[in-house]
Amino acid sequence: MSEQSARNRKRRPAPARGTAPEDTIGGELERRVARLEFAEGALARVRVPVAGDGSDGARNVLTDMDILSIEVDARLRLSRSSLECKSGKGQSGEPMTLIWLAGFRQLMGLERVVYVRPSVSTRARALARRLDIGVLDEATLASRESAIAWLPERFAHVDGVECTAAERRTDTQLKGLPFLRPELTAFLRYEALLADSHEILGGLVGLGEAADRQGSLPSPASHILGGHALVALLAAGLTDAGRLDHVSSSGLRQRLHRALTTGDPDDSSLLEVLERADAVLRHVTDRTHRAYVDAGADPIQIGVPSLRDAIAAAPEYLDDYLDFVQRLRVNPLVARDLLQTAELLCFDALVGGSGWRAPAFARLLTAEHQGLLLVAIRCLRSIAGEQIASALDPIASFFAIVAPTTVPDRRSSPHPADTRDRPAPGARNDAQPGAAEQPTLIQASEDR
Amino acid sequence: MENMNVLSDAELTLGLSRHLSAYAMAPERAALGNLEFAGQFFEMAFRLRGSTTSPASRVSAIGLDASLTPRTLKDVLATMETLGWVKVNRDPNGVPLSVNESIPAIPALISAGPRVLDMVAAEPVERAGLHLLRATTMQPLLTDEALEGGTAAAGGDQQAAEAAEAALRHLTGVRLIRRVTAADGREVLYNPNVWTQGDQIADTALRAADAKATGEVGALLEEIAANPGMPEAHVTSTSAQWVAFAVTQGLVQRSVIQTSEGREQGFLFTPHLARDPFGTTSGDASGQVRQLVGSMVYAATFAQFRLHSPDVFLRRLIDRGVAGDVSSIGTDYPMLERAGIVRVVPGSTTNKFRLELLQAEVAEEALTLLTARDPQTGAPAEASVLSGQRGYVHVERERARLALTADTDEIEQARLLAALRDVSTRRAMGGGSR
Repeated sequence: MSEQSARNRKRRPAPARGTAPEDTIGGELERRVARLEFAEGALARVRVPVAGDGSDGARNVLTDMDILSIEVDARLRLSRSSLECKSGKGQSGEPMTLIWLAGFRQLMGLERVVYVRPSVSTRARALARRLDIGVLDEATLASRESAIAWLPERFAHVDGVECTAAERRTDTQLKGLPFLRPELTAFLRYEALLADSHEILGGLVGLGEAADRQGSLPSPASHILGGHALVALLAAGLTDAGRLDHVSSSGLRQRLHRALTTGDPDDSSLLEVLERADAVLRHVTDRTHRAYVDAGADPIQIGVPSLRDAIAAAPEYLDDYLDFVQRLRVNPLVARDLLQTAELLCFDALVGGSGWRAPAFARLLTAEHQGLLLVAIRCLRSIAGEQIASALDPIASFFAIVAPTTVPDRRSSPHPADTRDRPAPGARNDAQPGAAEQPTLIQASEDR
Repeated sequence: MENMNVLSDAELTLGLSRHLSAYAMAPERAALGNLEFAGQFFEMAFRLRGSTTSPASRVSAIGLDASLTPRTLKDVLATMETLGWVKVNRDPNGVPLSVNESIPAIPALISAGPRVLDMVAAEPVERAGLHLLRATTMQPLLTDEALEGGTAAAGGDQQAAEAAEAALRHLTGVRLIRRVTAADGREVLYNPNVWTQGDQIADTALRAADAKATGEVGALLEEIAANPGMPEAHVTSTSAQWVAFAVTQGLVQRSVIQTSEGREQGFLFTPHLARDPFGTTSGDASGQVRQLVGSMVYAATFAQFRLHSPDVFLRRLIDRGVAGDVSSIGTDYPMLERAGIVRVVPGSTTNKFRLELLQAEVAEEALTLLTARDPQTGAPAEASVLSGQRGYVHVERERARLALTADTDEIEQARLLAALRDVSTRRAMGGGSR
């Protein structure tokens, strides 16, 4: 916040030129808050730039969110929060910041905003309560931190050293990769977590095409972009998996189909317009054709392609994606952690960090997380192509480093008493999505 | 690879492996061993799919339930691991702990058939066998024609010809192909599980061969088997005379839907409708299911007020016993009424009518048929059976015909443009799709 930092400068000497944001006093507070958010189950990132109206690519930065935090609940509903940190000591700016936050929440469509300060005055608390804004002060922060001491201080996008270095290097490398347009990479890196699923899918397809045109991507750009693509795909998949509580899977398919072909999930009239336009076009070509024949020319048949069919073809990856979404929905307890799992593996393990090995993260790295993540990578491969997905191939091997454990058998009933009436465990897959689609087959007992 | 939608490699090998499991190990069965393994592979893939993470013990239980020996199961899992479909997590001693699967969605799984056959190193005799099975299931064929295709599938050389002969022997041995010698000495092959008419079907094959129409009829059968209930007018694979030929020869069944207003449309079905190559028969002897499916497709394609989703309509009909409230129901279903499947009852106002269901089981079967290739489950290509027909703008064909005969160009063009404008304005006013 430029205005705010101008005020801060009055009270505190500005940091020396060239100091990285994470090394300032404010940056330290942001990291601590993000670490706490991550420990409490949210995907947290610090200093996420927010674009303005999107007209001027990467330079068009409106402001940045000190901490963007995304929680996924057990029904797979995503709730997005922005936490605003102010490290200055005076109280004069508090009301302005709180009102600014209320507007910012509305602008970004956030579910929750939190105001973080070393100390918060009673007046500010009262105002925050009226505006429904959360408040976090130094004392509360410190007491909660004491309960999460086993978490590494820095990891992944919580100012992890390797991650920060890789992101910076990626910024530099991207300047030399003209086919990867800044607005596309900025969308996937910073905005995808706030976008709707079809926008994310569109972005991933765009990334795959751009990467193919560009040829091979240098490291770490390939890993960073692949990681952001995976996290974005997971966010899209979780959003759609949450929607399955309200719409049927065929309804979801139609919605995505519309969104991905016409750009608007709720608008089906474009296809109707095209259908009518096709009719007009064919009619006019028929007339032209006949006029030539009347004038004595030989008829020549040229097929007129249907505009509607050209637009309305469903993307090939849709089945794959819906399969992924359904797998997320049937195991929400694991699926809700996946954003964190992917964040750790892509932005800590994959870029050479070691924070992810902490015992605190073992709960995010079970075999079940691995299973869903492998499906996510398969899905990413079919959407964004081989090049983007192959950068993530090492991920599977990281799980092997964590001690392998047995997994719960969620699909077996604990009451084996009445197995005689029921098919044996393997055959009980009618509860699995897709079981009904097996080709019908028979036991050929008569041929014996 | 020809014709992925109907009788895919996956479907055939899976059925074959279950069929063979009923026989004691004998030379016929042993010779088709790789196909049997491919079938077991697909069996496991279908059963594991969607579980994402399972403990090793559960996977073993599934394997036993599918009658796979632990050894076969190990091979199957190894093949899947090579394809990247599963990942087995082992403890430090190499004992499997859990299995993560990322087996692709059903359409992709089915289209992986040829790749799997390559991976299991299917022998020429097996490739020939698969071809023979598919071809004779699709239509009755002269032995020479069938063997020619089998030879091509097995590689095309002299050895391949021998392989095709051997494959034919094996398949006859396990009763998936029947050989009939006709009066003039020519031999005909057919799948007795699909072509249940008995040996007289051989005459049909001979007549088709004499008319040099085997190819035409084959293409037609494939097209209809992929889209059961497809309107006769929409057949693109061949011309009307061969449709008529196939119907008179009993290769294709035609249901005619006639409305009280005198409109008439034919809808085509094949015997593959509810019979698979391995002998499940839930045939529709009376043709009532075909009637109902035909009517639904008619309503979705040709009726004055088109029915938007026939499957939803049928489901409601089954759930509530009555459905619909429009004028065209009064005219469009006399044949269903006469067959005693439904009854037309008065609707909310004078001009509107509802359908009342009399035979629920017919409707349920028709529903299965209509939703078998529902967008939710099918590949984009095969999903389009009904939605594609729904999107089909048949009036244009009529308009094009009008435009060529009548001198109403300007009026017609104005009308089309008005229709185009109409949609745009409705959109601007926030009007929905319909």
